[in-house]
Amino acid sequence: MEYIDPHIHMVSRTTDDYETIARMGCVAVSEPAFWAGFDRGSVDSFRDYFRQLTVTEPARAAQYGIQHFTWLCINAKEAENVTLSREVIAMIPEFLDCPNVLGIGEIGLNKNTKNEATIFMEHMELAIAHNQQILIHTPHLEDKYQGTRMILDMLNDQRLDRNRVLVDHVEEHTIGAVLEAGYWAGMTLYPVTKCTPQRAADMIERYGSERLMANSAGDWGPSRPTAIPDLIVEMRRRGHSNDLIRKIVFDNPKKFFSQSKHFSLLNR
Amino acid sequence: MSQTKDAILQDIYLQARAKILELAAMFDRIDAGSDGEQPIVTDTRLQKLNRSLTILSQDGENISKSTKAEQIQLIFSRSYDPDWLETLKPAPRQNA
Repeated sequence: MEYIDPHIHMVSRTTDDYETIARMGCVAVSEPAFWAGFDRGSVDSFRDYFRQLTVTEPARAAQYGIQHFTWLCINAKEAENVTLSREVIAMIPEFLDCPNVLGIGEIGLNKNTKNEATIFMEHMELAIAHNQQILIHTPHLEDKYQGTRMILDMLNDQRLDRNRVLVDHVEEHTIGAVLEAGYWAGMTLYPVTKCTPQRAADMIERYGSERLMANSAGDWGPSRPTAIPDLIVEMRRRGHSNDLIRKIVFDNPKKFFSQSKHFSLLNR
Repeated sequence: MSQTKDAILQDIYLQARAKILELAAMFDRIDAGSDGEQPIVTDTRLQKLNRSLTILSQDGENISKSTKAEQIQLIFSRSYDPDWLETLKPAPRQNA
């Protein structure tokens, strides 16, 4: 089955992974800007990173017939450095016209601090000013519930179209509030710290398939770039229709991303 | 949900049995720690694990509408203060 991975960090994956996910049916990936595993020291580090996301990765993905899209921001962890964050936010418009840029992301909270909230709001202003979609990171583990609720408070702005906002890494205790507020929700298939394919299938059965998608969030840590095929197998095993499975892994991300002027899938 | 409760139980029984045994062995490992009989019942991590086990043992028909997974997630979550904007006072620049 063809699928889209709506959240994966291919800069930290090998070329073999592109080949593997292509063989498993992946036709497009969307890669939000994130933390590199260390705090970067200057705005030029981010400028180079954004060149990697807008030039290098699309070319690497294309070798395997995969379309590569991206989102730009300074992530929540480095947002603690407000001065650097403001320099990065001021530089982002240089890249917004690149043909694979879908919007601003993954912005969010990490430890739910004042500085993180300040920079989250400034990213929101950037997205509004440039009519960009938003992809949101919600915090990990014990910080997720509090941070997700704080993010929903900050998003409560009449200038934002909720249908153009994706709130990622939802789990059992946050998915309801996100969907009820009218946002898109993404389930991240990280077996230990986030969600298994089985629990994702449970949430689909409980909340339905509207505005819901799944991602691998594959990165430099323990993660599986093939997590979406694992979800497909789990849903098939439970007897769900191909139409429902396809809606979660292909139609929904396509519908959400298509709100960006830079998104279109090649005819196959 | 297209499967019956019995079919689901049949499907997950051995997995659930294995996971519960794994949990039991983890608690045995804590009990067998090198500090012997020294109790750690006041450790908040252990308290959260024990509260979660209580949720697991409740009858699904008689608990609230939220799932056991959701209730256990909340045990391991920091609380949310609806007035956080007033207390934390984030300060975005107006011309950002």
